[in-house]
Amino acid sequence: MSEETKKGLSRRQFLKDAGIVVGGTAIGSSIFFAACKGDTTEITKTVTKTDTTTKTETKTTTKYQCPFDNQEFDSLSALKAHMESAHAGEGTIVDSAGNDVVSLTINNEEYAVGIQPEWSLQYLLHDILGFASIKDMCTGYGACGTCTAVVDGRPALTCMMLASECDGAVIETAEGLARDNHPLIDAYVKYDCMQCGFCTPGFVTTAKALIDRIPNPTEDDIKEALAGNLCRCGTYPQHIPAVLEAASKVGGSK
Amino acid sequence: MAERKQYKIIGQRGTLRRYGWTKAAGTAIYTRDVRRPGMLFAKAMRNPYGHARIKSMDTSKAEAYPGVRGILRYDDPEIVNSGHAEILMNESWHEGGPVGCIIAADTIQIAEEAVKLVEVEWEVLPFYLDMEETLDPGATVLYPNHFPESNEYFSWLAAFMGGDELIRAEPDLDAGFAEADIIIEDDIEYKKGYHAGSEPRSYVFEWGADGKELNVWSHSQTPSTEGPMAQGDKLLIPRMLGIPSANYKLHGTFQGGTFGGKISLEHIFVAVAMLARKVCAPLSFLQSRSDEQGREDAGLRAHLKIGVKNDGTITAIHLDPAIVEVGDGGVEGEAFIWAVVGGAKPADMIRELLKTTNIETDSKLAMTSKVCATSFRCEKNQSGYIHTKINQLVATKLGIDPVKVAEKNVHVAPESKSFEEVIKAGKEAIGWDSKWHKDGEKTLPNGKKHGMGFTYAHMWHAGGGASQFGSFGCHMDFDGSVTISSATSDVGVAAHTTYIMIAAEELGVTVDKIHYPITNTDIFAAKSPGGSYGCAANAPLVQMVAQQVKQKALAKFAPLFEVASGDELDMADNMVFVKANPSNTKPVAELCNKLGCGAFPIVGAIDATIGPGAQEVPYNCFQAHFCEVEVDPETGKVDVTNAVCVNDFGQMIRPESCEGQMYGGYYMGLGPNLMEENIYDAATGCRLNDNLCDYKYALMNDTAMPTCIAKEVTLDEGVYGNVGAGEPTGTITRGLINTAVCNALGINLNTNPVLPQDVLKALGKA
Repeated sequence: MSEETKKGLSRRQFLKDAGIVVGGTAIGSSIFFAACKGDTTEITKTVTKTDTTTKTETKTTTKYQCPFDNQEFDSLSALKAHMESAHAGEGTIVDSAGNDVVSLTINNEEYAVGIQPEWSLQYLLHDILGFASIKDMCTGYGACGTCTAVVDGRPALTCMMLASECDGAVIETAEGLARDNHPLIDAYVKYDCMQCGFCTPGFVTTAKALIDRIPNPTEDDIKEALAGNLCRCGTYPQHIPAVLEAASKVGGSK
Repeated sequence: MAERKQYKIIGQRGTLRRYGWTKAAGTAIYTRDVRRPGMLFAKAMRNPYGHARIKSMDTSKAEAYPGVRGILRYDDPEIVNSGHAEILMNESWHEGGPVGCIIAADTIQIAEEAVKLVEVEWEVLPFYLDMEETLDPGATVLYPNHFPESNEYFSWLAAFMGGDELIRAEPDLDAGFAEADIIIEDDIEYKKGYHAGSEPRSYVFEWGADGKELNVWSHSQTPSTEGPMAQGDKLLIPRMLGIPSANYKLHGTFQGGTFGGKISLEHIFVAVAMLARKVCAPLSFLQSRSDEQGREDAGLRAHLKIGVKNDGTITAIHLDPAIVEVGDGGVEGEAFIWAVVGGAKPADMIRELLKTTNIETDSKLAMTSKVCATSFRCEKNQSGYIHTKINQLVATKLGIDPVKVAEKNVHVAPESKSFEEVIKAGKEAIGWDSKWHKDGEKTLPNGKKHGMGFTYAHMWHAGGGASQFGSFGCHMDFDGSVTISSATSDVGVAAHTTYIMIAAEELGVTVDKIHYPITNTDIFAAKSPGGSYGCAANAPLVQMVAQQVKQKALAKFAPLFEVASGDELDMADNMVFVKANPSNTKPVAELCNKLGCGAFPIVGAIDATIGPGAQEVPYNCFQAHFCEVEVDPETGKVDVTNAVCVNDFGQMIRPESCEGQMYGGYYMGLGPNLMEENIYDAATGCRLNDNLCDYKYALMNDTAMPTCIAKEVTLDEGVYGNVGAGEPTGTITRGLINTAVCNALGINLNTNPVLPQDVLKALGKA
């Protein structure tokens, strides 16, 4: 794969080129504390960028401040946990529209997103946050594996999970694996594992979770792990050598 | 026939699939991924009965539902006065069909909820699910607007496709049967199967340019204008909306696998475009799996009569009758009808493949209360199944090796060694000679019955050999890079990679110098994007445009070499050289730089071309497929423990793609053998397994992984001696497992899929 091809594939740039708009209510927007008595207080979020030793990189630190005692926390999840333990029953964290907010770590980036109670994680990731890798072959039956993301280390059918259940989850998608040059991506290309490609990201994330769990998988391990992913093009034989090779390149490290 | 040549790029391994990285990374944008500013979502109401008509419809509650932005009803003036009232009707002839109204809302969830609020008084009407019941003279006529007399279907295309063009000699059934030692008779059935392409069909419409330009993102096999055998979106949608074709602006998206299931334009998509205009917003129509899962190929029931000599020589075949089920035939739901192609020629394969020409078919096309049948990977599924069963029935009856029956009867071009080579390779790979046994004679130590299966066929071009209608563009830019433009979309066969390899070969540049955007129908529209009209049809067109660009470029480079004309130059490996003195060579990029930007682009283009006939000569290249099964007599379960697929591709362009079609075809062919079946409720006409939980197709561990042997034995009629890869591989294997189960049990099973209950029933246990 040429470098030229890989460049310019930042997710946002690609979505922009493809005419896609990232929708949603709370990407980078304000977060509020809605008290039971009716008052609403904006939670102070401090973002600090620090130059590192190189000229091109900066380090971003985000702090969330408790509206009651001004304690600072590194993540919204930590603040939530603090509020539940220290200020239970005082209210909930919402976005500017009054929706509940979940905090997610997706591909090593933090997200705080206002959600509706009926949203699946698949809908949140694909339709709201714009992760195009989260597909929907079976349209919500949990039958195909195309919506698979790695959620807290496990391959998860995101169409079968409510977004509201995922507060604090650590999520990996194929876009993140590609951005981080995970060997699975190049191995999948090398072994021609895709035809139409619609199911491919779901295989990739399922395989990623396998390699994390079993650094040196056998053929049977791979077959068992990928046994729930449908591919109508019938690419099944190619996934075995691709995952074996990727696992050997990862060398057991996550 | 082309002469075999040694190519630098064509036929060589290692060219990575273009857009493979994008697909693996999940950044490939399919139609279902498209989001536009202000976009709304549409949902169509669906018919809950086997056949029903709306007596009255109240949409007031839906209109009042928060987030609903517009409704299009069948009785709205936009529809009534459009001249195309069929776009949105008050009647649906099958359960799940779109009917009555479409609702646009802020989210898909709101649209779905709003549809539930539409109050309808239905008139429930008679329906038929069975192909023989619908042909009964007393049956209610289902489609009186089109066929007032009966439910038997006919069209000019059916007549053409089911016609006599493949008959090599006038059949003489009486003489053929008189010559036979034995007459074999049997009833066989091929059940309809669902394409189950990975991406449910979807469209996004957005009106721009003062409301006169229709921007479209579509999941369609026919986004362009197409040719005489099919009519595509760019032709039909503008015509029905009353706008110029030029104002139909298609935006290319990646395409989930289609396999023939998205080849017809359904009326409902035109209605969605109308609703997009009405609500003045981009409108996305994302069908659910259930919405599209009525689509099937054609079913078949036939009574077979086979005349055969004691040595296995087939002397005559009569299909009397052969009933092909075409669903609604497309007459009430489609803007262009493909039903007829799927299964309308049940004798097709045996006419092409067997020495005997004493073959006759008395076929009828039966219309039922189901969606229009369309070809599923290929229109030869039904005839391929018949062919496979005939070979097995003869072997079973005579107690001889089915491979020997094939060798006795196959019609091969005189100089072709293809058939014997693929048979030899396949037999060796699976160990046929040591493993094959007479029917029912082998029980394994684990108590299971052991069986060997076999089928074979020729390879066909799938769209024509020497040339076809179509258009391509190709241009070289100021830095020597090259772009190919066409309406071709890649539904999985690596079309872009393959055509890039052809262009690179012809131009003398490396593949990394060539870019190929996924779809362009602005000017290069008159071409099928994939599907049947694949490499065999497109290869000559790519060859032509690449040669045009090369010729023009060399003419411009000639002064830089101080030679009289471009004819004295050639290109290879991104270098231009003087033919008479190859050491006098310069890089293409350097020469382009010297010419300057004003000399570019250098353009080659093929406008719509009807080639010199697309006559198929289907006797050069062959394929053979073998399998081994274990059948549990206690449970009826069939385990495929070994499979070997051998295909002679003549000349492969991209070997990895050919192999992809081999294992891909094997898995797709396996489904109708073992598990795939649409199930309907006889009492209501409703589909019972319209989802991917209950409609099973093969997963990774459902069968042994096949051994695929790609051969290049005999060149075929493609410009490089190539032959179609996608259709033949997945078509002929649809009866393969059946033959193995028959061999295992010593009982002829005349249906597919072979489900455990079928096995137990055959064994007298159920």
